[in-house]
Amino acid sequence: MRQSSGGYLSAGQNVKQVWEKLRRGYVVKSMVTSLLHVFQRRVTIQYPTVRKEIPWGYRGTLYLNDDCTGCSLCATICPNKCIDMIEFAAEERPSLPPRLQKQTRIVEIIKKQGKEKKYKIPQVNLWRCMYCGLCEEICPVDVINMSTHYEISERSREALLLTPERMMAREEVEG
Amino acid sequence: MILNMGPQHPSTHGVLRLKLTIDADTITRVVPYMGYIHRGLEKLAENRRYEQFTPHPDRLDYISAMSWNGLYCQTIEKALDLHLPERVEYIRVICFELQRIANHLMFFAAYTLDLGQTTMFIYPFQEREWILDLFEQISGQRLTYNYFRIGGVSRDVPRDWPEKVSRFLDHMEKRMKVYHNMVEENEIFLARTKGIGVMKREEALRLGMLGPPLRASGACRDVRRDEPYSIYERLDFDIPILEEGDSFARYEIRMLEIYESIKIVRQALTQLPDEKIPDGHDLIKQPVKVPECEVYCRNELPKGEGAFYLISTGERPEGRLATEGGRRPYRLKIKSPAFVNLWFLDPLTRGHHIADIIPINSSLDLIFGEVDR
Amino acid sequence: MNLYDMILALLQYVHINRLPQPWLDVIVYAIEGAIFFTIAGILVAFTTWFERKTLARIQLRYGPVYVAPRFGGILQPFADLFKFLVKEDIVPKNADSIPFTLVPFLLLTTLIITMVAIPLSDWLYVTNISTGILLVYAFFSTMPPLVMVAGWAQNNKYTMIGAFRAAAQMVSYEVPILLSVVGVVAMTSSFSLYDIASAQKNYRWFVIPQMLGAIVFLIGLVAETERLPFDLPEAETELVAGWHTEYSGVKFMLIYFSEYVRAFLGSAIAVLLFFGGWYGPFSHIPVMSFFWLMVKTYAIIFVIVWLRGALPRVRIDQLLRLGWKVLVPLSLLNILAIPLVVRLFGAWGWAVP
Repeated sequence: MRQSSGGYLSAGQNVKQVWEKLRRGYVVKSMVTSLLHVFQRRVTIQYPTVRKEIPWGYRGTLYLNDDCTGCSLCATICPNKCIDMIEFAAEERPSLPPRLQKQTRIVEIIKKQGKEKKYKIPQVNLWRCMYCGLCEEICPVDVINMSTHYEISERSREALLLTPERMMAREEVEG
Repeated sequence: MILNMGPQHPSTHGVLRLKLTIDADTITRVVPYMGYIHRGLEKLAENRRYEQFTPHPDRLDYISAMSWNGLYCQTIEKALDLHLPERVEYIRVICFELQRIANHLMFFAAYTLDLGQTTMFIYPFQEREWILDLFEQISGQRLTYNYFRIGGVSRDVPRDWPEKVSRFLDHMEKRMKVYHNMVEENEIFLARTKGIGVMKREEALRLGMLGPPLRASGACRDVRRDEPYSIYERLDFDIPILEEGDSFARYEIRMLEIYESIKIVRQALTQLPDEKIPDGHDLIKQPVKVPECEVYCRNELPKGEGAFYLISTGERPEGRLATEGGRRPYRLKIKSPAFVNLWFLDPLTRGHHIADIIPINSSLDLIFGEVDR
Repeated sequence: MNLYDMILALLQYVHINRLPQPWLDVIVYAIEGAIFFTIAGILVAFTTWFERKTLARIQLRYGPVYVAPRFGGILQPFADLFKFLVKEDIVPKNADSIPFTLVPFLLLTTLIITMVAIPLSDWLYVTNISTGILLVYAFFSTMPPLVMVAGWAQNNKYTMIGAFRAAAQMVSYEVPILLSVVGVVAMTSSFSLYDIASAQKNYRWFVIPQMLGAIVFLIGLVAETERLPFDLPEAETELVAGWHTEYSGVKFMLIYFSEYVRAFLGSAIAVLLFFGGWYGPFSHIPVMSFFWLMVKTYAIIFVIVWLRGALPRVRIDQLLRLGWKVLVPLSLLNILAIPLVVRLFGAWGWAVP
């Protein structure tokens, strides 16, 4: 399909083409429209001095906001298999920062199970996580949550591994 | 002479390698090489449970993620024969149509940028950012939403969301005039795209084109009309059809589709029922077991007709066909419109200049996440 | 009281004006050239900033803001200069390294020569060259062969194609530019830019009798300097960056700089030829005449940048068709109308028949 190229147009046809284009107002409307934008407010924000407001429910990094029961549902549902459950003995398990410790429901649930058990707490590989939010949805006690913190780039793989201690310390959320 | 437009390229939308055979300035043959972003999603689906796989179809066409997500959930619901609450259906349709607007805005931006008009890259992005903000308020993410679940949506929309949507729609209608002025009144744009890459109706149907390029060639094919799904039967909208089939028609038809989508969303907002819908937390805890069946489910994605073909072997306990008790698909075949439209590059560009590949390539609206899967 | 006299006075002040005449001239002209180069260089750097800011404004964003935040990022070009200076100097393997290295320098050299031929004010000029416009035009037309050499020297199929296209584009737009200038030259019977500009006193700008010539000249200028909407050889898709793809570091900086110099000089010439040069209210005061020239030049640069912001690219065959089949006939028409125009406007005191 040979279109709009090599065919030679006579002088008269050329002039007619140009006249048609001029009559339709060659590019004047585009130029005027773009010029009018000069007088409008600019739409970009100067990140990082100014930050956009993040709505509630944004799926950023993960954190734990209470003691975990160790049910491993989050590890099972994760599509990328980025959650591992790390076992801790009772004394060594990481806990929330002192001012946030709520020793209520989870500890009761664990105590009800009787014998000395090992605590399992999730560890998340942030470089495998795709922030889909399925782990947050499936958690039966609403402990593993996603924060609105999204600036999570680091310089080493180790820094991207959210160990149970880091998840309990909620530094992603607080810091 | 053989010229290579390599995978790293500022204007192919994603990673595409094109081997052009040219004769001075005229193209005689174009061979696209794809596969640079193949991620094995179909095989991955065989190893993930149905409810676990919902985030993955978003990654197919990341520009219009809601539509793929919705199509997947629709497929599983068709296999399970689930009946969804009305409010869920309306929310889904609103999201589909807003996503269509967002996709077409991205198309404008990429198309005009490839032709050199840098400001028309920024202007549609303003509206697209608005839509992405709307989606961020309901789903929590801006590009790969994972909002729909099998059986519903993950969270009900906030109370003030419908009002924000209608405010956006009012703004959008005003902006369409600006886009019209910048693009369709621009003679240079018209000279670059009119008459380029013409595809006639019979040939398009014979070769199997999909989506807006097909409708721009004059054929009336739209899944929302041919095989209505969700609640499209209750909504009153037109399907724009154009006759010329050149690159400019493929541009203009998407513009017209935006007007139609705005109409659909307005109607859906007025008809949105007020009821309590199951929360995602409850939906995801119900295990999904699909009985032995084969399901083919179609949807009108912004880029064309997309489909999932699901083969499930049910609850067979052992052997080659076992799929963990019907919790995983045996085979999930993904049909993407961009993959089908990619192969039209060769027929459309025969006999044109090298510089004409750009409008033709951009007007087919390809996205390589979807082509390569 | 022009620049020559000022420098002579300065030399007198430091007591080195006892040299024989040719040597004195050499020293004065050398100093004048250096001053011109500095002024023009700073103005061109400012043009880069001006373009980025204007384009940003059209696109609803900010443009450079970080380098000198109080002044809106105006030192950005100097930051870019330092960045280019510290980059690695890469010469592709199997590339012809002598032409590869020479071309950017030759480009800049020819443009520096052009810079000193253009008067920037009624006192700020190096010398009144009687063949001014021809000299400027001759040096502008050294670019196509240099571009072709550059495209060839990079040992790259795509840059070669890009260079051929760039050279074809430039050559085909030089013809209408020169033809459109003929009308202006006929109005003053002189090729000297200084004389042409001086003849436009009292708001007798040559754009009015030579409207067609002005339009042809401006369109040709945009095409000659390879700016959008005519930048097919440069920013197009299959050629990535056209004939200067493989250049990096200092060489790229020189090429980039020379493009802006051409745009700036082209606009200055357009102002001198058509838009009244340095005349405006209060232009008898020396500083104001320079100011008016700058204002008008930047008005034209604003229009050129505005075109870049608003319009898509023209395809190469459409481009060449515009140049040869539309602009050349129009400029020939302009030339045909010269006797009539000169007679008519001469009667009103505009022209010197």
